[in-house]
Amino acid sequence: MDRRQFLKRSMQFAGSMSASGALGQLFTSAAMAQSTSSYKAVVCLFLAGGLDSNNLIVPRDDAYAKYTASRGNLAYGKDALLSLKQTSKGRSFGLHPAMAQTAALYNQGYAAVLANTGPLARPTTKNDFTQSLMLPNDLFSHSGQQAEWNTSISQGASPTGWAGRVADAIASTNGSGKMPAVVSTSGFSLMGQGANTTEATASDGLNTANLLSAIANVQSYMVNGETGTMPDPVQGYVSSTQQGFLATAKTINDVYQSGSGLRTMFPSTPIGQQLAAVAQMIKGRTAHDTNRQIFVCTDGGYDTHVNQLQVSQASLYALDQAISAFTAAMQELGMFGNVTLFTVSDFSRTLLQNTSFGSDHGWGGHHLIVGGAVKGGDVYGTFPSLVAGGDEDCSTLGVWIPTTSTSQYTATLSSWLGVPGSKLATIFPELSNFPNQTVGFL
Amino acid sequence: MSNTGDHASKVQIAAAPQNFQYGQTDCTGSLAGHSQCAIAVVFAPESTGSKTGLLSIGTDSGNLNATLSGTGLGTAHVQVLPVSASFPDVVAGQVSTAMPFVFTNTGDVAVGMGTMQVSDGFQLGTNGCGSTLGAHASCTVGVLFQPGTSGNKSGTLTVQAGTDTVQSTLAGNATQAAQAPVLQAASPAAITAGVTTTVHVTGTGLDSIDSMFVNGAATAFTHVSRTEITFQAAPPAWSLQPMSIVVHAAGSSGNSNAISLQLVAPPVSYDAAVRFTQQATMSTTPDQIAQVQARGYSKWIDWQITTPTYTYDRTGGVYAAYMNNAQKSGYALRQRVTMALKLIYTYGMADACSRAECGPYWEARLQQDALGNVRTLLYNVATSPLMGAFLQNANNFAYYPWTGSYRANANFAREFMQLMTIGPYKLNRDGSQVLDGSGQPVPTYSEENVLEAAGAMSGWTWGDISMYGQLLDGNPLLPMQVIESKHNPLAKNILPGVTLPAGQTGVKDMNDVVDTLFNHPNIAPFLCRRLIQHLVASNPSPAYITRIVSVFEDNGSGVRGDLAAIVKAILLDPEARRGDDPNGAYTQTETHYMEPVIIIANAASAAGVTFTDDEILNVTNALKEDIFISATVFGAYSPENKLPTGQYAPEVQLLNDASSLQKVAFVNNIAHGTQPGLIGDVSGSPLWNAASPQALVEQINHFLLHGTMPAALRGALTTYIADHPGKTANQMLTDMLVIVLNSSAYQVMH
Repeated sequence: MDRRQFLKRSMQFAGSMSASGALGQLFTSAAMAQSTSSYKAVVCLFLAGGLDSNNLIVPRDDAYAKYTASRGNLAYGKDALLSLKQTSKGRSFGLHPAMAQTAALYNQGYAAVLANTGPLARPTTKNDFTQSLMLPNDLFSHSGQQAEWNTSISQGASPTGWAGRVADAIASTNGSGKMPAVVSTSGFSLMGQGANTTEATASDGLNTANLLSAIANVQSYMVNGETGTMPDPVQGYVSSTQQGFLATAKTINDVYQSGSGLRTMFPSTPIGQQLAAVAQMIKGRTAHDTNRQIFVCTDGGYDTHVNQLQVSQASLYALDQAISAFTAAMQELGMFGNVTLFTVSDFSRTLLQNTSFGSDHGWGGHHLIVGGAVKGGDVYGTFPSLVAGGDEDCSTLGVWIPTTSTSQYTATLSSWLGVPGSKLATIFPELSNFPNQTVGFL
Repeated sequence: MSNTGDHASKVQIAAAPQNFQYGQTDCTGSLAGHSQCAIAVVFAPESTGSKTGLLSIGTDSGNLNATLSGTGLGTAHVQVLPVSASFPDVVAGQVSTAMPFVFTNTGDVAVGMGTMQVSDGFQLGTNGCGSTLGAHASCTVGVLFQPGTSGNKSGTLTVQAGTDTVQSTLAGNATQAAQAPVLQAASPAAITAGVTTTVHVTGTGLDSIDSMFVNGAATAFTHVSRTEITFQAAPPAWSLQPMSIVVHAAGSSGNSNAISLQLVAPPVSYDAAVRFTQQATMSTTPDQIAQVQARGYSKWIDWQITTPTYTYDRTGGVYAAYMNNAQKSGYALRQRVTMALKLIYTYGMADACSRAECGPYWEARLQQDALGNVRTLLYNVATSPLMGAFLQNANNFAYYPWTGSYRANANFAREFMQLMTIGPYKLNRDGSQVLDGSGQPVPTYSEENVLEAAGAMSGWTWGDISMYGQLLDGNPLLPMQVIESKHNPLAKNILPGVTLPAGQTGVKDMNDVVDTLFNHPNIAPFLCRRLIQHLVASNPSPAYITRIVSVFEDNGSGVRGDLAAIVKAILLDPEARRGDDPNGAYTQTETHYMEPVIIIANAASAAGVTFTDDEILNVTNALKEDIFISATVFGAYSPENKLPTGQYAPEVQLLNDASSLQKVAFVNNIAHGTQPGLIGDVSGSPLWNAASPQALVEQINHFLLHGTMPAALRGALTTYIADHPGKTANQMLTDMLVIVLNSSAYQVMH
C-alpha cells in the first residue's frame, strides 16, 4: 500500500458520506464550521494503581457503623467527611476531606457518583465467584484490570479499547478525521485504539513541538524518501502509518497552540497540567472539524498498600484542585455542558486495612462524573452495604463484587457522546448480559 | 623662374634650407628678359616627420620665395624573437607543446607578410600573423617539434616580410620512442573485499608509466623496477566483481592492456551477511558482518551455540550491559533467540517479586536454555520462582479453605497451556488450525483440564522452603520446591485422554505435565511459527513452517525439541536465504518490522555510541517494549497481530502514535549523541570518514540496507547532498542516519 492508498483509506468514511445526500450535508457543515453546541467531549481521568474508593465516598447514615467496624485506622471521623446532599434514595454520604471543590460541585448538581463499578462479564454473585463462573480475567492484577477498564471487555484480550471503538463508530459524523477523536495526554493507552482509528498522543514525556523542531531540517527528506511503490504490505503500512503519525502530531500541536490564552490557572501537578492541555485543545477546537472527542489523562499514586491516609490526602487534593480548575476553564469557554469528566481506576481496595496502614487490591469501586450535563448531586448504582465477608464481598477483606459493569459505565458516556443505541452492543460485547445498557447519570 | 620684363635681372639663389638640397639649375648669374630658368629641389629629410623650407632667390625686383614642404618617412623592418629556439626533447613520433615566435614590425609602415615556412621535423601551430603586419605591430606563431625519427634536428622558421627575409633557427632532440608497457600479472591474484592489500603488478616497460587506473579510477602506485609496480588495493567490502587494472606510460598515446585482480569470494557476501545479522543478531556491526562473512552461516551458528551465556544477575547496570552486549558478536544469537522466547515465556512485574532485578534474572533464566532443549526450557520455566511469582504458581496450594475443596488457582496452568506450549486449538504441522466437519477450530483442552493441570502443578514454593507464603526474597534463579502436604494428591485429567494417577509427588506430576505438553503435536508448529516470525518473516509459508516442524520433531539424531537445531534450520532455510540474492525481489513472506529494542540497538551501533547506565530503560519503556519485563502475560506484542490488509505483522502492534514519535525522537537523539545514558558520537560510527558524500550514501546503502536502498530514499539523500554544498560527508552523517534509520525501508527487514 502506498501513501496515496493510505490517505484514501483514512478518508473512506468522509468519501462515502459525501456520496449520500443528507449525511453528505452533515459532513459538509461539520467540515466548514463547527458550532459550539455541536461539540462534545468526555475526559477520562485514569487513577492508576487502584483508587481506594471506600474512603472517596463514605455513608454518613446508619451504614457508617459498618465502615468504622472494618476500616480500622483508615476510617475518617464522620465530621471530617465533607457533607453531600441527600441522594434521591434518601441516603447521606460524605466525600473525602481532601475534595472540597468536588463536594461543592456535587452539591451544586454538577457532579455525581457511580457506585461499585468494575469489570464484569455478566451480573455476578458470590456463588458465581466461588464457582469461578464467567469471571473477568486477571482479577486483582494491575495490568489485567487496567486492560479491562481500557477495553470494557473483561474476558479475553482485545486489540481495541472502548474509546477507540467509539471513535470507529462515530467516525462518519466526526468531520475529516484530521484531528483524532481520542487524544491521550499520558502516552499511548489501549483505551483509544480502534480498529480503523488510532489514538493520538498530545504529550508522552516528550514535547511534540520540540520533536517537530528537532527534525525540521530533515523531515522533508524523510517524507520524500517514503515515496514510490512499497514492495510489500508491511513496509507500505509502516511507511504510511509513521508519516501519518508525524502529520497528526503537527495537527495536534497546531490545535494546542491555537487554543492558548486560557485565563483559568491550573495547578502545576501532573494531573493539573494534563487537564490544562485538554482545556487548551478544547479551546482550539475551532481549528478542526472533529466534534466528538475523548481525552485520556492518567494520574498515579493510588496503589496505597502503605500509609494510605497520607498518600491519598495528597493525591486526592491534587485531583480535586485539577477538577476544579478544569470545570472553571470549561465555564470560561462556555463548554461546561459539552464536556464531561469522569474517573476510572484499576480497582478499589480492600475495606480492611493491612498491617502497613494501607489496603490491598480490591475489585468494584466508586467513581466521579463531573460536568454541566451531569445529573449531579446523586449516587447512581448500588452502594455496597460494607459488610466484610458478606454476600457482596468476594473475600473476607471487603472486596466488593461490582454491581455495575465497566461496560454499562462507559456505554453511558458513549451514548451521551452520540453513539446510537443500536451500536452499543457491538462496541461493548458484554453489555447485552446486563438488564440495563446505561446508567442514568447523564 | 620666368622674367616677364624686357631687361635682364640678376638671379641669386640662397643656400638650400635644411632637409632640402638643390640640384641641377640653369639659373645662374642673370636671367635675360622674356626668358626662363629652372632649379631642381631635392627633398632630403634628415629625420622623419613633416618638414618645410624656403627656396629664396634674389632678383633685381626683389626676393622671390617658394615654400617647400615634405614628410620624411621611415622604412618597414620586421624582426622575430627568439631568433633561435631549442625545443625540449620529444619522443620520435610524438609532438611537443607549441613554442611561440613573435614577429614585430619596428618600422613605420605596414609590411606584407609571406607564407610561414618551417623545416621538416617541425610543424606550424596556431598562426596569429595575417598577410600584413602593421607598423609597430606584433603577431605570434606557434611552432611544434614533431620529429619523425630520433636524433638531433634543426631547421628554420622563415617568412618573407616585405623585402626582409625573417628567420629563426630551430633545434631539438628527438628521443627514441618508449617501449609500450605490458602488464602480465598481479600478485596476489585474488584479494579480499573490504581489506586494504598491497598488490604487486608485474610486466614490461613499467619504468615509464605515469598513471594507473583501477576500475577506471586513477590510483596511486609505486615504481619498483622496469618490471614491477605496487599499489594499495582497497575494494569496498560489498564488491563482488573483479578489479580491472591498466597503466599509462609517459609519452604513450594509449593505455596498456588490462589485467584482472580477482576478489576472494568469502563464504558469505557482505550484503548477505548484513541481511543475516538483521535476522540472527541484535544489531549489525562491522565485526558481526566480518564474523558471518569469515565463518559462513552454518559455522557461525555452530560458534554461537557454544558461546557462553551472559548472566544478568546484578541489580544495576544490567540494562546497559544488555544493550552493549547487543553490539557484541559473542552473545548475538543467544540474545536474539531469547528475545523471541521472552514473547512466549513472558515475565511481568509481579507483586511477589517487585524488585527491579527480577526481570534481568528472568533474562538469565531464558538465555541459559535459549539454545538448549525445549523440554528443559519448559521445566525450568514452570519451576522458576520468577514465573511462580508472576503467574502466582508459587505458594499456590491445592486446598481451598473457603470452599473446602481442592482448587488451586489456574493462572499459570492456563497460560502455560494457552500461551507457552500448545495453544487452545489443534494445529496442523504447517501451523494452520485443524477444522472440524463444520469448519470450526477444534479445542485442544477443556476448562476442566486447565483446572486439573493447576492441581497437578500445585504445592510449589520458593527454593528456600522456609520462605513459603512470603514475597520472593532469595535467589531468583534457585528453582522452586514442592511442599507435598500442599500438593493436590488426587488423580488429574490434564488433557483429553491424559490422566495422571492419584498419589504422585509434586515433582512427578510436574514432570508429567511438562512431558505431556512437550510431546503434544501442537507444540512444534506453535513454537516454530513464533520463532520464524521473530527471526525471519511475519508471514512464513506453510511449507517453511512444516520443514522446521520436522526438525523440532527430530533434529536428525532422533532428538525432539533441540532449539539449536531448530534455530539453525530456521536461519538456513531457503525461504530465509532467498533474499540474499541481490537480483531477487523480496516478497511479503520475507519481511518483518523491526521491533523497538532492535531499532535502538542498531541505531546505537550505526551512530557509534554505547550505553553507560540503565537510562535506556526509559527509552524501551516509552516504546512499549521493556527489555526484561512485559506489561502483560501476552508479551509486548501478539504473533496474531494483523495489518488491516490481512497479513500478519506482530511487531506492528507496537507502532502507535506515541511510540512512533518517541522512536523518531530517540533515533534523532542517538544520532546526535544527546540521548541520556549513552556515550559517544558519530565520530565512532562505522560510517565515519567516508571519502565523499556520495561514498557515504553507498556505505549506508550496504551497511544498513544490504544494497537494497530504494530509489526514493536514494533520491532524498541525493537531494540532501545538493542542498548542503558546504558540508563534508562527516557533517552529513548525523542527518543521514536520522533519515535512513527512520525509513520504512530500513525498519522493515527484508
